[in-house]
Amino acid sequence: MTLGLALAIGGAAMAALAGVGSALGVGVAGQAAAGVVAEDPKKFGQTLVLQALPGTQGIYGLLIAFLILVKTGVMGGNPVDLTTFQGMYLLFTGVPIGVVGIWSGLAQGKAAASGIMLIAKRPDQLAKGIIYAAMVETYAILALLVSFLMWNFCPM
Amino acid sequence: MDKLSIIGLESDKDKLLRDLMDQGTVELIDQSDRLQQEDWAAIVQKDGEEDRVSRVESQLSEVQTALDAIERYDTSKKPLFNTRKAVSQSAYDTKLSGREHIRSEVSRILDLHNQWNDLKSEENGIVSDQASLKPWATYELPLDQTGTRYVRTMCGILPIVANVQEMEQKIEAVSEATQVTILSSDMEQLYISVLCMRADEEAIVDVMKSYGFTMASFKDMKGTVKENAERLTRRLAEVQGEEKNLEQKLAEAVSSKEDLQYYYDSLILERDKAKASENFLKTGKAFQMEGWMVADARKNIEKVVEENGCICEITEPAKDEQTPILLKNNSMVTPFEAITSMYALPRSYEIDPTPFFAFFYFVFFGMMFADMGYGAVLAIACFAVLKCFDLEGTSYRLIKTMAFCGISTFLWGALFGGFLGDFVSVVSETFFGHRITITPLWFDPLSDPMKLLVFSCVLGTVHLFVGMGIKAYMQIRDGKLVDAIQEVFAWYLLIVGAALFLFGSSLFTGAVTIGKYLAIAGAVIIVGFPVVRGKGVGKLLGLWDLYGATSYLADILSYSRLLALGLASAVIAQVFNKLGSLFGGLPVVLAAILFLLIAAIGHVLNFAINALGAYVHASRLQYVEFFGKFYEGGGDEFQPFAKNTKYMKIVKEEK
Repeated sequence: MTLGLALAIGGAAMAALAGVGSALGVGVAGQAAAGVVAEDPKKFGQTLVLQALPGTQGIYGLLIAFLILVKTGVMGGNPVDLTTFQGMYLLFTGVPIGVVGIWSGLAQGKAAASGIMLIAKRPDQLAKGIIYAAMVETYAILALLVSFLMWNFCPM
Repeated sequence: MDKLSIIGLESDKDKLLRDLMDQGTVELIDQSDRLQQEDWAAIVQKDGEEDRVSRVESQLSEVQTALDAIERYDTSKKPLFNTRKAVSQSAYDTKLSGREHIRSEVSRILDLHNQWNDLKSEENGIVSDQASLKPWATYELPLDQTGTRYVRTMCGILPIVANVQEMEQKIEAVSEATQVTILSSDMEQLYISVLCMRADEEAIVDVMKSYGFTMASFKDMKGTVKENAERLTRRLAEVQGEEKNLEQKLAEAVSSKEDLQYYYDSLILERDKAKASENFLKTGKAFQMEGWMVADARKNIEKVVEENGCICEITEPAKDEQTPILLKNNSMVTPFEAITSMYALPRSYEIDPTPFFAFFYFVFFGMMFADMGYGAVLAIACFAVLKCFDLEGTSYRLIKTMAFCGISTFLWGALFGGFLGDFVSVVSETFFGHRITITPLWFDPLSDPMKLLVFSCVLGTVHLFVGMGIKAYMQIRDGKLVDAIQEVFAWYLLIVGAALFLFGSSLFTGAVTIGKYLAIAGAVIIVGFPVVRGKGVGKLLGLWDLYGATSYLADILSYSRLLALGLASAVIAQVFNKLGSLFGGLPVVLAAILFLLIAAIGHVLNFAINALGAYVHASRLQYVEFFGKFYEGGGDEFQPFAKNTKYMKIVKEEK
């Protein structure tokens, strides 16, 4: 095992941190949802959809982490001896989705929680609540794209 | 939409309303504004049957309560979707000929329900009495007895922190012949009984009060604690038995649920008809009404009006008059109206955007979900729902949209070579030792993501251009050709030019030069037109407009999500396949079971989250990027005076 490989694993770990944002976001939305469902249990399905929205950052993190693990061969069971330079490169690859994931997940969770409040009063406006939360997601998607393109052009 | 006004005799009104309701193509307009005008106010007054409306509404709420009451005991399986049951007019009429019977059934159910409620609250009372008697279980004197001629008996409560020994010593100092017994205690309180001479009562109570003593009250219970406890237990059993009995009866009443639903619907129709006349004006013997009418319905409405001996006039709306909106599209596009109406219906002078974005929605959803397996599941599931349930309105359109999107997902899956991610490759390699890959019809985005990124942005640009084209069309229609050139066509030149200038070198020789001149021409128009047309500072507005290029850049880059989300669904599917295949070393049967288990859970999860994502982001691209270019929205939905029943859909009989 080389230092490069260890650094690359660090990149996968970095990407997986996006899950922190999702956990916070889904948590915030879940608290709001529980409050609304306490008043009207029939809204469970609608609130669940909104609560699920901030969950995607974690998935994008998993995606990049998986791609890095595949590229380093750790996933296939034949780790490649990466140079330190390559390792650093893959470490940075994990940064965009990891960092953006944390904050966008939390922010999206707050938007989703407000969306849940919206449907507490106006159940017919679910779609709009979803769109508001999805506006935040754009930035997680862009970060995913940046991480992915970095990964794609990694000199191996 | 055309405007319809009808004048007729009061005696014909009821029949006319019934016929208009059958047609369901007219939205009534409230006429009370007319009363502001003196010449109208002099001869007419507001029509309406408020008494009848409120009477029918109270009946409605009774039937609703009765339905709710029996709903709890309805053990039949609830369907996935609530649909209205189709019944013919004659079947409906026959059912309602037993109206009196149904009405008595409703009051019977309400009666049972009220009795049940009373019993339930009695039960609660008994349970709380039982709880309050519990601490006194060892007290043996009758509760209503406060003593004999010379002796006083008291029951009371002390806080748990009270120092009882000290209190007893103090009491002894006041009166020797006193006995304090601690009956029981809990977390917070001590329950005590006190025997003392009547003469000393006041002094003793004073002492005890300083330790926080309060007298216990037993309401009006007679006899000993034990007797009372027995009585309560007996009564509780009785009450519970009666409850069971009533529940049994209510459960039996479930069989008349359908009758009640018929009755409920008939009351809705009656109320709506009574309410309709609130929109009318009347003189002594005649009435006047106005409404919006679907233009296609003209012939039928004229016939109905004539049959009822009334007179009607049909006019087209004035040029800038807001009319209610009813979208009309061919059957392929209609489902996508659900997406439009979630944003906002068009205003009456705007163009319905649905036919323009329906195809893009179809394509975008498929690209972001792109998988043959998921697409097939989505399409089959949605078509099955449509087949099995008689859905109406928005839910019908939404499910149908998803069915179409399932097809699109399947097609893009085929183009990109995805079936549950790389399911086929993983299974063939892990279990058959020989890797089979599905050859994509077009290319595999994972191996050449740049190609798909460019394709996404080009597709997005086309989408934006269509939106801008609609804006140009509306401007030209309204005689603002110059605006259209400055705000739309110049941007076409600039964007196409810039794209050729930056990326054209690989397309054909000279593309860069052509691009350069196109872009310059566009920029010149954008900056130059306001200089000629504007006044004062307005002459420089073109420069500000040119700065808007950044927003076009942002809009176009926003379409990169087509690539990113498409990759997300494909790669996450691969993650689960890979996880499943990690057990490939185990015995084949065990490995296969583990693989299928992990893959099943993983793919269900991936399906759910990515289908939601594709739906949300395909909508967003319409709402933010596409609608942002031209669409205002804010029209009112056409709400015809029709049979808006809740449970039954009354269909006309075939003649």
